[in-house]
Parts: sequence; structure tokens; C-alpha cells
Amino acid sequence: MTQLWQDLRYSLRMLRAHRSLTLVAMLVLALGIGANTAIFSVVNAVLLRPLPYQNADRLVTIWGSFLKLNIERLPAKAAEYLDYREQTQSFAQVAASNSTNYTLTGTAQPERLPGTRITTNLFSLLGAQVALGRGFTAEDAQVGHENVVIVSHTFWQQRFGGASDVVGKSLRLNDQNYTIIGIMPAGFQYPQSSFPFGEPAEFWTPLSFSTEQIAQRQPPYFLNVIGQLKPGVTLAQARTEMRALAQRFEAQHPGYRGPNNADGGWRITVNQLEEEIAGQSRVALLLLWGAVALVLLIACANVANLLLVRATTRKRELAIRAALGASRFRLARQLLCESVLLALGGGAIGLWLAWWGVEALTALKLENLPRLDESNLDWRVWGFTFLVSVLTGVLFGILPAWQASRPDVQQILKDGGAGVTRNRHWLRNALVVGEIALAVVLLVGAGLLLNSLLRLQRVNPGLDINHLLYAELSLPSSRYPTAENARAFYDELVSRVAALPGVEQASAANRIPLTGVITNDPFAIEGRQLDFSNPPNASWRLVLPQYFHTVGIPLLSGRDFNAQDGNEVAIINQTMARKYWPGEDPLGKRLSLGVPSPTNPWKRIIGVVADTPQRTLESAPGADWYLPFAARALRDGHLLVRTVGDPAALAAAIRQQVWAIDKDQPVTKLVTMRESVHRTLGARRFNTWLLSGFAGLALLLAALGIYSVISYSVTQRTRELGIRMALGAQMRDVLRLVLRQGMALVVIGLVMGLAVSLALSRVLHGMLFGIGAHDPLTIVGVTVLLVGVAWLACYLPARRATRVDPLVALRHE
Amino acid sequence: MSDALLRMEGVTKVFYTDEVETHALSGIHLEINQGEYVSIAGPSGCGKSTLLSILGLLDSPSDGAYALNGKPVQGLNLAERARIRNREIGFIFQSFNLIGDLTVYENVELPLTYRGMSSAERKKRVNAALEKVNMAHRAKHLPSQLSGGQQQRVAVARAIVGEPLILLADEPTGNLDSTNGEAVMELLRELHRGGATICMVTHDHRFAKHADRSIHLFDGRVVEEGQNEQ
Repeated sequence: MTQLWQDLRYSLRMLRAHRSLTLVAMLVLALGIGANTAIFSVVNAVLLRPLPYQNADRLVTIWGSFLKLNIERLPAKAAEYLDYREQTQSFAQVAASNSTNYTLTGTAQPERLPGTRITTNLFSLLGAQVALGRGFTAEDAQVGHENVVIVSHTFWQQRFGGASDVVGKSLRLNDQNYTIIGIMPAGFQYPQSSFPFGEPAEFWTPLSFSTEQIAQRQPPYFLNVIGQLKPGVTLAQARTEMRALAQRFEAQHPGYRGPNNADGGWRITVNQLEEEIAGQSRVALLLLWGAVALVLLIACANVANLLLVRATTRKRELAIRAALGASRFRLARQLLCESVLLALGGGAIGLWLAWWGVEALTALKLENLPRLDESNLDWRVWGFTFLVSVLTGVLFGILPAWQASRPDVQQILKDGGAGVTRNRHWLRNALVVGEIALAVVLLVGAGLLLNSLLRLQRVNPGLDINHLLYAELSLPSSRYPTAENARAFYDELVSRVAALPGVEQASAANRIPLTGVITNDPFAIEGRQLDFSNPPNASWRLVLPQYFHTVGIPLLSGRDFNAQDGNEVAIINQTMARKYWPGEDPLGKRLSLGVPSPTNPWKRIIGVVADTPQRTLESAPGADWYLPFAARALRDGHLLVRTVGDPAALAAAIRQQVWAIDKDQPVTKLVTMRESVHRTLGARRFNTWLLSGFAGLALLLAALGIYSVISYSVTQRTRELGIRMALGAQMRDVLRLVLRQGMALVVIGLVMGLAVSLALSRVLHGMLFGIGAHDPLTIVGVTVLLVGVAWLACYLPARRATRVDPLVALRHE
Repeated sequence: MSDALLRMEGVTKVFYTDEVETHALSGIHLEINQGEYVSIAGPSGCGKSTLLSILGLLDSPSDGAYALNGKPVQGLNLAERARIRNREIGFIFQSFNLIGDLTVYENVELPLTYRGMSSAERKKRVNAALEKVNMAHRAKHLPSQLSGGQQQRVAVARAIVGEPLILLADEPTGNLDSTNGEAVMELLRELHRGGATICMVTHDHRFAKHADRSIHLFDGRVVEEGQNEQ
């Protein structure tokens, strides 16, 4: 122990004595460790940290699916939920929720706020208790008793200033009075923003089911069900049980077969909640984590190189120590102590850099990267940084320690530490080759993602996303009980907004294009036999007249909807026309949404419009068709406004028009289309720019590595260069000599890196758009970039070599 | 005016360090004719090596004129000086200055590689030069595998391989024992007998007498010049 303490003290003194090297090495390590810490904090938040609920690892989601009809993640009907509760053995508890927006009135402006209706056992399933007041009781779920509300801590603070007498007060939600019975503790959220259902609620109301809902087993599919597995029950066991239950449903109840009683592939799926949240981000995050690990490896190689250089200047000191009896182990330990201390210093700076990094990452507020906002430097991140620092210290210290701990004492002491010939630095060269190869792997990955992003940004959206604004509206059934009431509201709103100065055109639709949300349903074509086991499928939208003109989708043939159109017309897109009426004119043909019936008549195709990507810019166009508002009762819709100038400038005027029609009607969201499309690319942009940043850092570090090796080599070869110049070598000969040495390493590293990239490219396959994983343009681009940067890194010391004064060099012994 | 291979007139070299002016050479007049063997002798610090550096175009005079083969060289740029060093001057250094990572053959070949000469021609010349110094059998060895005397013979082969106008030798025996020193001096004499022009710097009077003519420097000036008896 005393010896170790001695080693530590001596190491600190050595690090202080070589301040410049210590600083450079620490900074290089700080970049590597800092990037790792920042990404680990995201990985920690998204993939590792349990959800803040009791037994979070045992929480599962339960969905219905009609696999053969391409319908998945179907929420449950009330009767199904009750069966899940009562007819299963795998779950300790099963609870359900239904997230919805409530209109809060009685305040300065009507507001649309997210709330969640929950079964009364949900909080106990989650292990949550109210901080003030009381929780829900079974009585609260009785029909007629459900006008009670539990509010979030934030809501309580913001709306009531944290007043202790809030329990018993009332809130006006959806034109009804609700009594506040409890306050949840600070920090409690359900659902979380990352959940596959709803957005974080500001308050919760009890769910009650009518006897009809239970008895008739009819839609709506409205319940998001979560269960808590019993201790010891595995996910696989729960899945087996639910598969058997699904078969019982199919055998005992109608409605679990496809159209005409065909096999619809009905299943009940059980997924771990944490996995469901993190699942989509897992590959991308692990990829980023892998990328920063490579950056750290490059940093290690760089610092190992620096230490190898220093080891050569310390040969004499180590030889004297060995001559005085230091064992090889003792010498190696001494050097490892130094490298671990260096890495811990780098880790400390890295932690500071990571703090900034995490701040910057969470500030991005990406909607499609779940739990990103929970990233922080908790104990786990601190522990990770410490561990990585120590491992890093050992990793980059082991080679120099191994090499320096076996000095040729006799030779070194005889010639005073200066060799007669230039050492062949195979180890340093190998490290640089490794650095370059790793940098190439990252550059190819980043290049492919960047190329994909650029291609995606150039995708023709099929509509004009500039000067287009949409407002999200949700009309309460209490004030708009019929389809006609809702239609009248939208008609009036559209005509009022269209008359505003600066507005070119306005319309409305139930779904906004390119936002990822579509409604896909089977349809029937008149005169054709319907294959019930595999019916044709298309996404459909309800739109008002002038929708296509407003959003900028060209009408290719036929006509647009008009105010007189009822429930018997439709407009289809080009893909649908090509797919279902190849070589025919679809105009005049008839189709129906599902099986036609007196209330769901055949719809005659009156127009064909151009394609748009079906879900987001990343998806190919699919079969889409459009129906007039008269086809369905529509309360949740979107007002679309084409403006002459800046669309955001009209936001206030549009709100005023909504309130002029209905003063209690909130506008949930007012977003420009450009912003909306931009957001859908958020996660991809995040991955791309981060990976590009890491690849850039890797390139910089690799260039630094080449520079330091060549620079050191030039210093070591000063005398040789002097001899060559004395013998008549021109500057270009010297330049070529040095460049050739450096570029040979670059070429070897490049070839190795490209080979590894090609082998690993499968990992990226799912994240690419419009290019293959072996995209030649990317590979050429990476090659040119790397060779260019590496050439510069070699050129700088090579240029210094040409300035060697042969006279001075020959005296240099 | 005689047709001297090398002529210096009033060459001066001044070094400035910390505002101190040091006159390394003052008003040197020197002529070396084709086929002549000249030694420059003098005590340490008298300016011998500085003079040789200027003669070898490794350094420039502060003042005065210097012509090689009838052409003034003081205004030449770096590339032209390198070209002359490569084609018209052969260097033999005290510490051999062989490149440790190159074989004997590659060391000797080195000046020819800067001429763009064909590989076959280079091979012929290198082998001839190594034969001349009796080192052909060690062509594939590294310098570290040779004795000091052998290394200096390789250095001589490298100096003559390009068939320069003049050989400049800076204390060629300085790092050698007396036996090897004598052997190298004998080698230089042989080359001289074969027609080579040699200018050798030495502080050893015994070796200085091997030359046809000796020039004695003291404090940067020529203090004595005379023919040696052979």
C-alpha cells in the first residue's frame, strides 16, 4: 500500500512536470469520455432507468390485433378489459385508462387540456398515492358518480397556487362540474409523454362503464390496458395465457372474425411497457453508444501514442530504476498509475462537458425520442464515468507500460538514451492505423445517415408545405351532439377564416398529411368479389371542399368536392387508381368503406388527385382516398389555412375566429405545416447530427494522431533529413518522403475501415432512406474527406521537414 | 585568371548571437584546381567546418564571392543549391551520417535517387562504388552491423557514386581508431590517384600531410598555405 501511495505521488509529480502533455492528453480523453457520458445519460434515461412506478419491470401493455387485417395495437373494449381482469391468472392487477382532451372553461380563455380517465385501481397498480385528499374508490366509478377529479401537482400549483383548501373545489370540464378530491404528488405522471398512448395528464377522472358497453361487447376500442405481472410470471407465460383467451373470445363472441366471418387473425398481445417505450429508439441509441465508444477508443489510441513518445524520452529514467532493482511489474504499475490518474482527470473534465451536452440534448425536446427529457447525470452516470475513466486509463496505459517496462538497460545507459538508428515505431503506426480505421467506420455510418437525411429533405411532399398552417380542434359532444352541428361549425369557421386578410384559401380535414397518423381500413369495390380473408386496404380522410387546393395537392382529373356533395362521393389518389383500376378510368366507379349498407352507401369516384407520402416523408405513397365531411360525424378535426405571407402571423386572428363562433371552444394546437413536417424528422435528425458530430470528432482525433506520429517522426528523423538534403534531396523529395510515410498508414487504415464498414453496414440498414448500405457515393465521399484531412495532417509536419537546415541537422546528435 | 575548379574571394562569415558578432571566417581567398588534394587544418573553432559548409553549399558566406566550376553560386536558390550538392559535390562526414534504416546499398544509392536516374544505371554505379571501397559484399547489411571503418568506407562510396566534381571530407577519421583512420586515408589517396579532387578538413597534422597542399586556418583566417612533400 505504501508503495502504491509512493507511485501515486510520483505520478502526480510527473503529470505536473509535463504540464503540456498532461493537458493535451486530458483534453483528448475528456472529449471521448464526455461524449460517452452524455450518450450514456440518454441511454440510461431511455433504456436503463426503470419507470418511476412500483415494480416497473413487471408492467405490461395489453393490446388487441387483427393481424390479417393489418390492424395492430387496438385498444380494448370495456368488456374485454373486464375479461382481462377476471379471466386471467398472470396478472396481479389489470387497469385501464383513456386519455382525452378536456375543455376547461370558467377561466380567462377556454383551454384544451390533456386529462385521463382511469379505472379506480390504476394508482394502486402503479404504487402511487395522492399527496392530498383521497384517491378514487369503487363508488366513484359508478355511473352518475364519476364527476370527481384528481389533479396533478403541477396543475394544483399553477391553477390554485398550491392552496391547501383546494379539495372540494370544482372544475368546469367539458361543460360539467367536477369536484376535486385529491392532488397527486410532485413528479407523478401518467401516462408519460413516452407512452404509446396519450400525453401526460393534468388531471384524472374515474372511468365508468355502462351495462350496454359491458354486455354488447361493441366498439369503441378506447381503453389502454396495462397489467402488472404476478411475481414469478414471465412475459412468455402471460402471452400464452392471453393467446388462449383470444381463442376463447373468438369462439364465444361475434366480432372477433374479419368481414364475412373470415379469419381476421385476432390476437391479444402482451408487451413489456418499458420495452414498448424504448423499443423503437433502442437500435439508434445503441448505435450512437457504439459510435461514442469508438470515439473513446480513438482518443485512447491517441493518448497511448503520446505516452509512447514520452516513454522513449523516459527510457533512461526507467533504465536507471531497473538497474537499481525495480521489477518489471513495479515499472509497469508506476506507468499505469500515471495513465489512470490522467484518465480520471480527463473523466472529470468529461463529466463537465457531458453536463453541457445533456443540457443541449434535452433542450431539443424531441417528441419521437422517448424519455430524452429525463436524461441527467445521476449516480449511475457518475459511476459509469468513473468506471470508463479507470478502464480507459488502463487501456491506453497498458501498451506504453508494457513497452517501457522492459528497457535494455545496458544499451540505454551506454548510449545515453539516444539510439543510433531511428526506431521502427510499429506500435505507434499500428495505433494510428487503428484510429483511422475506426474513424472511417464512423464516417461511413454518418455519411450514410446524412445522405439519407438530405434525400429525405428533398422528397417531394406531394403538397406545398410552405405558407400552410393548421389548427387542431376537438368539438365536445355536449355542445355539438350531431354530425350536422359539427359540420356547421367547420363550414362557418372555414368561410370566416378564408375571408381574413392574408388568407388565400381555407379548408378542414380529420387527419393532417405527413404527420404519421392515418386511418387504414378495408374497402369494397362495386362489381368485384370481396376476398374477406385479404380485403383491399386504403387510408382514408374526411375533407371539406377546397382541401386539395388549400394543401396544394393537384387535382389530376374529375372535380373537387362541393358543398352539395353528400355521403355518396369519393376522391382517390393516383396510386389507388393505378392499383385497383389499372388501365381504366376510375371516375364513376363506386366503392365503399367496409361492407356497403343503407347507412354506408356506395361512393362514386368523382376525382383523382396526386400522391403524397402516406404517413411521413419517409413513407412511400400508398392508396389513399378522401370522403366529404358528410360521410362521418366529425368532431376532432383540423382547420387548414393557406396564407399569402408568414402563416404564423395569422395564429391570433384564427383563434379569434374560432372564439367568435364558440367562445368556449379551445384551439389545441396551431402549427405551421413546415414545422410539423420538420418535427417528424426530429429523431432522424438527432441521430444523424449526433453521429456526424461523433464522426467529425473521430476524424479530428485521427488526424491529430497522424499529425503527432508524423510530427514526432520528423523530429526523430531531423538528422536523416539533413543528410538527405546534404546529399542533394530537393524540398519536394523530402515532402514526398514524409507524406508517403503518413499516407501509407492512412491507406492501410482506410482499407481496413471500409472493410469493417461494409461488414457492419447491415446494422444501419433500417435507418437509411433512398440509399443502400453500400452506397458508392458515400464511400467515395468518406474516402476523399479522410484522405484530404489526413493529407493535411501529414503535410504540416512534412512542410516543417522541408525547412530542416541540413547544416543544423547534421550537428543534431 | 586560372581555371580553378573552386574559387573563393574575400569570403567572410559572421554569426550574430545575443548582439555579439562572431567572425567565423574573415577574408578567405582560396582556389582548388581540378585533381588537387587539399587539406584544411587548424585547431578547434578556427572555422574549418564553417569553411567546408560554405564550400559544400550547406551554408552561405556573409560576404565575398564563391564560384564552383567557374559559376558563381552565392545567389542560387535552395533548389539550385541542392541540385549542385547532388551532382557536383560528394560529402564525407566525420560521423559517417549513414541512415540507420537503409541498407548499405540503399545508403549509397541515395544521391542517385534524387537525380531521377534509371534503376539499372543506379545499380551499376552503386555496385561500382561499393567495389571501389571494397564493401560490395556487405551491400545488404545495415550500418549498425558494420564497424566504424566499414561505415566510413560506405560513406565514401556514397560520396563518389554520383561522380562529383569535388569530394569534401570533414574530419573523415575523427570517429575512427588509428588503424581504420589510416585505411580511410589510404582510400582517399587512391581516389585522388584516380583523378578525384578532394578537400579535406582535419585537425590532425599527420593526415593533413596526405594532401598535395595544406591550408592552415587560425581564428577564421588563412595563416599558412603550402605544398606538402609526398
